[in-house]
Order: sequence, then C-alpha cells, then structure tokens
Amino acid sequence: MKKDSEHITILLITGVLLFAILPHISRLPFWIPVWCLSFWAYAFLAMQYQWYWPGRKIRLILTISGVLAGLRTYGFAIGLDAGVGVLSILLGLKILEIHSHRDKMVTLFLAYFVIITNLFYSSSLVMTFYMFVSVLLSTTVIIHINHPQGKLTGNLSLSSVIMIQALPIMIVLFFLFPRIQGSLFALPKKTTGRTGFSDRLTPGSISNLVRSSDIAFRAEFKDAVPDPDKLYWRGIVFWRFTGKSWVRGKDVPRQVLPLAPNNEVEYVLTLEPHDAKWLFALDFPVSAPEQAVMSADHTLIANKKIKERIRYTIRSDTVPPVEPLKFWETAAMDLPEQGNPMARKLAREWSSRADTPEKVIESALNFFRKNNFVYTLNPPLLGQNSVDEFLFEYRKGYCEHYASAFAFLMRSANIPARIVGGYLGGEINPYADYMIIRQSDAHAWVEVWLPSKGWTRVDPTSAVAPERIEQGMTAALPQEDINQIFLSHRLGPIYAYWKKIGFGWDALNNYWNQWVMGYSYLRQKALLAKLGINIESWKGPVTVILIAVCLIVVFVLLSYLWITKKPVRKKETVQNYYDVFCEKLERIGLSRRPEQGPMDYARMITSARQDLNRNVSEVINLYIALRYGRKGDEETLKHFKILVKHFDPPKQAA
Amino acid sequence: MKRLRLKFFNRKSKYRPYTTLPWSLSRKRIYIMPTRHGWRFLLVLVAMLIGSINYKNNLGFLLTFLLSSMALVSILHTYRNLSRVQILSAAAAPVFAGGRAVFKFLVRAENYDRAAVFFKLVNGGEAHKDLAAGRDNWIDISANTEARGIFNPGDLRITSRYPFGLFYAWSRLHLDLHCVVFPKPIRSPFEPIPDLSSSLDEGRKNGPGVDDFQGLKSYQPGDSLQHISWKAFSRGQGLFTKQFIGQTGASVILDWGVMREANTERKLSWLCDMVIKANRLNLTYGLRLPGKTIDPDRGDAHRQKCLKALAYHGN
Repeated sequence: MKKDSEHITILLITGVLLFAILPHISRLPFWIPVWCLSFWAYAFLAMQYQWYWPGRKIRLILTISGVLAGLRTYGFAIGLDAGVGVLSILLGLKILEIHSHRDKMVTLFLAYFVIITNLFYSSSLVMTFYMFVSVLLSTTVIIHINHPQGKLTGNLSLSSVIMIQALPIMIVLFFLFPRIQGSLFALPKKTTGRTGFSDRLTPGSISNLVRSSDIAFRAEFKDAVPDPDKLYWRGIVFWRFTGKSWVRGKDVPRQVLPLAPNNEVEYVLTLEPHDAKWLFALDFPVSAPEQAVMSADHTLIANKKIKERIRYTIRSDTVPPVEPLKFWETAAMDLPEQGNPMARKLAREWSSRADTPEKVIESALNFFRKNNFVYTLNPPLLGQNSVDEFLFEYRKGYCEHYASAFAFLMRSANIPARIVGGYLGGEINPYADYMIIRQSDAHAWVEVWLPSKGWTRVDPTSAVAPERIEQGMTAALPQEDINQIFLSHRLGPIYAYWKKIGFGWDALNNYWNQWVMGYSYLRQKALLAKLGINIESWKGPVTVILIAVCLIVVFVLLSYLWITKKPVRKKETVQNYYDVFCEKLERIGLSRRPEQGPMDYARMITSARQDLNRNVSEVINLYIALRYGRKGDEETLKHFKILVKHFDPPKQAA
Repeated sequence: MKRLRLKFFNRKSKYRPYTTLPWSLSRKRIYIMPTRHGWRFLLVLVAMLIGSINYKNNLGFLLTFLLSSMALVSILHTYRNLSRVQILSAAAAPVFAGGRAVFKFLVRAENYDRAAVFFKLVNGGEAHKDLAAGRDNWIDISANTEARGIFNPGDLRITSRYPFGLFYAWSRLHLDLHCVVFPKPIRSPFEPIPDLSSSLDEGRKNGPGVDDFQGLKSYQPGDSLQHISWKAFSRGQGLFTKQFIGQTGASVILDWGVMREANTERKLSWLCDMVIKANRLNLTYGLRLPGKTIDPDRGDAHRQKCLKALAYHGN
C-alpha cells in the first residue's frame, strides 16, 4: 500500500518535470528528450516490475557521461542553451535517485527552475499561461509530497487558493520592486534566427519573407491613419548593385538636421526584435528616436541590434522633401561594368527618345504594363543576367524583381535610382486602435532623383498589380499562390471568424506586451512620478518600500481573514422544512409549544384532528428519522421535502 | 519591556507553570520558522531574481514574485493548520518499568480539517495525524519507561509543515503529563505472612489452601513440589501445579519488613511480583511498606492501589 503511494508520488514528480521541460523539447538536441524520457520510463517500469535499480556507481557514471555528452553537443560553450541542456540531462537521471523527502523537494525546486528557463526563450502570452499552469501543477505536487495521504483534488484546490492569494502580492512586487538600468553582469545573449529584412536584396529574398505571417511591428497613430498609398514603411535603402543583388552602401552620411515637416503624422511604433540595426518608420521620418540616428537617405539606424521588442514615438512627413542631389548620391547611378546588355540597350533607347526623365520612367512603367508581366510569389530561378532574364524571358516576379529591374533600367538611362526596402500597408486591428504590420507586408520600391522634385518614389509593382497598394498583398496575388502559402485562406467563410479571433488575440497580446512585458526602469520611473514619487531622490525608494510593505501586509491580512473565517454552517434543510410544516399547522390553530418534541406534537395533533393523522404521522416519522436517526439518505430527505411541500391541512375536519 | 523579559525568562526556565488542559493553540504560543527546504527555496528564488534582473526578463520577474508570494502566503496556511487545535485531555495507563507507556491525547480541531499535524513528546515518540474538524481525534504517543516511579515524558511539541514544507509552525506545551510506572516484577519466593489482625468472620473467603482441588496452573519456580501434577508431567504435558482452594478465612500481608534483601528497588520488585501473584491467586492480601500500610482486600482496584503504593514508594 505504502509502496503504491510512493509510485504515485514519483509518477507525479515525473509528470511535473515533463510539463516543465515540454516547451524546450523542440529547442533541445534530439537525444536529450529521448534520454530523459527513456530514464523516466525505465524508472517507472523498474518500480512496477521490480527490475534492476541502478546503484550509486552506475548513476555516477551515467551522470558524468551524460553531462560530458551534453557539453560536447553544445561545443563546450557556456550559455543559456547549454545550461538548459545539462539541466535536462540531470533531471532525466534525477528520478532514479529519489529516495527521501529531501530528494523530492529538491527535484520540485529544479522543476521551478526549468520553468523560468522557458521564459528566457519566449515571453508570449501563451507562455505566461503555461507558466501559471506549470506552477500550479508543481505546487500541487509539493503539497502532495508533504501530505501524501491527502486527495489530489484537494491539493489542487489548495494550491489554486494559495496562488490566487499570492497574485495581488505578486502584482505589488512586480510594479514596485526597484528596477535597474543595465545588466548586473554581461552574459552572451542567445541569437535566434528571426525573420526580418536582411541588408541584401536578391531576387526571392522578399517573396520568401512574405510567406511568414509573423508580426514585424505595430503602429498606433495619434490621429487619423494615412491613406493606403501613403503607408510606405521605410527600412533600408539599397544603393549598390553587385550584378546579382542589391546591397546597402556603408558610407551613407548622417542626417544632422531634422526635416521641416509639411504634413505631419505622429505615431508610436512597437518593433518586434529582428536582430538587425534598422528601425522602420513611415516615409519620411522627421527625426530619429532617442536610441537611433538618422542617415541622409532617411533611414533610421539604431545604436544596437534590436534583440528585444522596442517602442518609440516618431513623427513622419508624408510629403517627400525636395532635396538637391548630393555629391555622394551619384552612387545611385553606378552599375557594374558588364551584364544585362539587353536591358541597358533598351534603357538607352528610351533615354535617347525622351527629353525628360519623367518620360523614361513612363516608358519603363508602360513596358511592365503592356508585356503581360505576372505578379507572383513563385517566380522561376534567375541566372547570371537576372535583369535581362526577368525582363525578356520569364516576366514573372515579386516586388523585388520589379524594383530591381526598374532601378537597373533607370541607372542605365542615367537617372539616379535607389531601392528602398520596407513594408507596405498594414491591417487595423478593429478591437484596439493600432495597425499590425506583418512580414507578409514586406515590399521593395524604387526612388529616382528628378531635378524638379528631388527623390521621388516610383513603385513599379503598381504598374503590374495596382491592387497591391490599395488592398494589400492577398488581393494582388493570383489565387493559387495565396492558397498555397496561406493555409488559412482555404477555410473559406470560417476564415473571416478565424481572422476576427486573430485580431482579438493580437490586441490582448499587444496590451500584455505594453503593460507587462514592456515594464522597465523608465516605465517604473514614469509610473512612480505619476504617484508623485521621485525615485532618484533618497526619499523615493523609502516611500516605495513603505507602500509595498503596507500593500503586502494588507493583502496578507485579507488572505488570513479569508482562510480562517468560520465555514458557513450548512443550512439545516431538515429543520427548515420542519419549521414550514409547523407553520402550516399553526395556521389552522395547532401551534407547537416551544418545549414540545415531535412525537408529543404528533399526539396532540392527531387527538385534535383525526383526519390529519395519516399525513402528520408520516411527516413526523420521517423528521425523526432524518433528524435524530442515523443520517437519512438522499431519497428519504427528498420524500420528506415533497410531503412538507404538498402538506395542506384544511381548516375544518372533513 | 519588563513583561517581555519575564516572558523570555519563563520560557527558558525549568519552573514554568504547567499548561492546563483543555488548551487551544493560539497566536501567542505558535511559532513559525522556515525549514531547511525553506532556506533552500530562498536560494532558488534569489537565483531566479538575479537571472531576471540580468536578462531584464519581465516574465522571469513575474514568476519569481509569484513563487515568493506563494511562499509568503503559505506561512498563513501553515499557521492556520495549527491554529485553534485543542488538546482536551491527556492520559496514560500505568505500566511496569521497562514497558512502553502510551499517552493518549484527545485532540479536536474546530471549523476546518487540519492536515499532517505532528505530535512529539520530548522524551518519547512521535505521531502524526490528519485532524478531522469537529470530531474526537485520538493521538497515541508511546514512550519507553526505565525506572519505577512517575514517568514524565517532557513537553508536548506540536508541529506542522503543511502545505509546502517550506515553513514549520510549532507550539510547545508544558503539560502536566505523567504515567505511573510500577516496579518491574521480579520472581521471588512467595513469602506472605498470615494476617493476624483479621478476625475469622472476615476471612471467610476463598484463598489458596489445601482443602479442595480447583485445577491446574503452569508451574512456577517456588511452587511446592508436593503440588506438582506428576501425572500430567508423565504424559509429557509439561510441569503443572495442582491448585487447591482452602477456606482458610485468614488473609495475608505482604510485608516489606520480612524480606531479606538490602536493595530497595529489588525489594519493591519482589513485592510487585507478590502482589501480582496474590491477585492472580485471588488471595485477600494487604501490603505493608515503611510508612504506608494497605489493609487486606481483593480485586483489581486493590491491586492497582497496592502497585501504585509500590511505585510511589519513597516519593
């Protein structure tokens, strides 16, 4: 019997460990989850069927070899990944050495530790729920360890109660615990492959990005949202063409003076980490936010790579500034010595016939319009002379193909041209007032320099697929492309609901990110400033600690009152119904004297009213059985209730 | 301040007043401290906090603060688990020296059930039990006795680590617990002396004698050889002594004075053995100790009285 309960305890501990490790499984090298699961399974089977139990020496050998193998897998590098891997390896073996109460407690503490390591990888809302559930389960098992005789459901409800009581205190600590700027000590930060723009534009680089529906950033406009044709989110400017791909020139000077805005839009942008330095802003940002500088091509370069979600307020001018061509901007006319001869020839023809650059642009756009160009996410692979192949052979491509070819044509016609990479459009979340810009909105367009207007945006994609600008990518692409890429679109009418749920969920995530995940030293400072506390003076921290302590004491007292309150006495249903019964008799003049017991009362009634004898004695007998006998069963109680309810003594004897 | 110091002094003092039963555990007498696991858990929390600060991980902060708050709240639950537990009575049946004294405590818990409450006697064993609300819960704690006299098992320590095992609440009750420990019976020559003071009329009771055969009892060293049932022995049934009842009318006195033995404890052990035998033989016997005389009588109550006198001898 005792052995069985021990098995159950170990099984529960294993379950909790599995639940804590589960989110890591896809991140861990394949053999580690297999290692854990096989030892756990073995431990359980060995307990069940009295198999061989590994001794101390074998366990030591397994531990050492496991850890070494783990370190080898991670290339003997110390970091979060390696730490999690080794911890998992050890936990795989830990089940084999649980003997005492102490071992169980330590294993549970390790489970809590595994839970926190998950949080360093993902801090999404889903992960938050997962965290609460794992804590709840682990705590239930901790209670079980300390009280094995108890029922698991009871343990679960107790751990829920404790968790609920802990929540207000947790919130107080979360917001008032002093935050610091910077790190305590530097640790190598993990880099995960995140989707986003690279600093190299090759045919196919955007159409690959577009397949991801990950969120690139969110924007909240202070006033009205600009028209769709103004929603060009600028990221990188590609200056140099290498013959195959476009790259960003390294020698772009800084823009020192802010623009003098004509038509200003103000918004707050929350950028998801993309592991690169550029920030996105609506064309054309007026000035750089705090943590970045603005280049002369109106791109924003952050001081550090964006590894955490950042949020910045920024203003943009939707009217392009008129600027002269600066000397370094002649790079916008450079082309490789060789390659794509047909395109060069075509551009020279246009330029010799036209007298203004505008006319050359028009010829190029017409060329796209009239030659059955297809806008598709599945273009054929291009070879050495990519522009020629695209323009004269396949005529199928996504925006980067059009932008690349167009810029090439312009440069061949001696018109300065550059490619801008960024996003176009975005969806307004109807449940919260902000715009979601996804990777699927990625776009590339061209800017050409005209003597009269300065740098002017020309979007060659609009010549082929004008819907792309007004209605977004899904309207512009052929249906089979969309179905192939976006599985959810196959759902038909359900897709509309699906999308709504998606918006609601995103709104929730956004609030969570802003109010909880985005909480930092600066936010705390602002929050306390609102309460009139200046954290930087010596009084500030003292006040904060006092407030925190007071709030915690209040919540602890409330919890104490909650758990020690006397349980509400169960309504004595039997007594209540008996009272109703007596009242009914009182109405016909047969009231019970206070000292009269049920039997005496029954005798009194039957002597006064023979006709009530049957009904009254039945009720009284049931009452006696229920009240004074061994607990009457449910059926008797039900019978009693029905009889009392239907008991209706006539005023006069029949 | 003075009161505080006095209280502190009292706690340490050997001569603190006994807690009288029934006693209900309350705030004043329940103390709470972290267990070893509690300190270990604190280390885990500190590590988590440092990690969260360093990685500026808000979800990490959230988890760290959630766990710390839960640990904090668990103190209340640990306290609640002992609060208003009532010890209604405590008693132990007398035992012979060297036997196990079992102290029975009647414990009630009001309003709600208590889980895994541990009871320990300082000089004895430990027992743990879930206390059902509003019911009588009996807790048995045994303790080994050594010497004759009055055994004091020391203070009663009530502890609980429920629910997380991170904190333990305890209360130490200085109860007036005692168990009478009779001398350990040592086989002795049965040496009663006739009670000369008893009159003939009073002695008309059955006692061992020579008149009527009553039955067989297993042989004990010291039984008369004449009374051994050789018939039974020849049948291979072992040694038995024939018992006879005689209406002797006279009662016996078990007298301290006539025993040729210098050691007090040994004398008491012998007397104890005699009392038991006399009772088993249904004799009318009295006990004479220095400074205390018990008049001849019979029955279990009388036996207890005599044994108690032996236990208390010299106290």
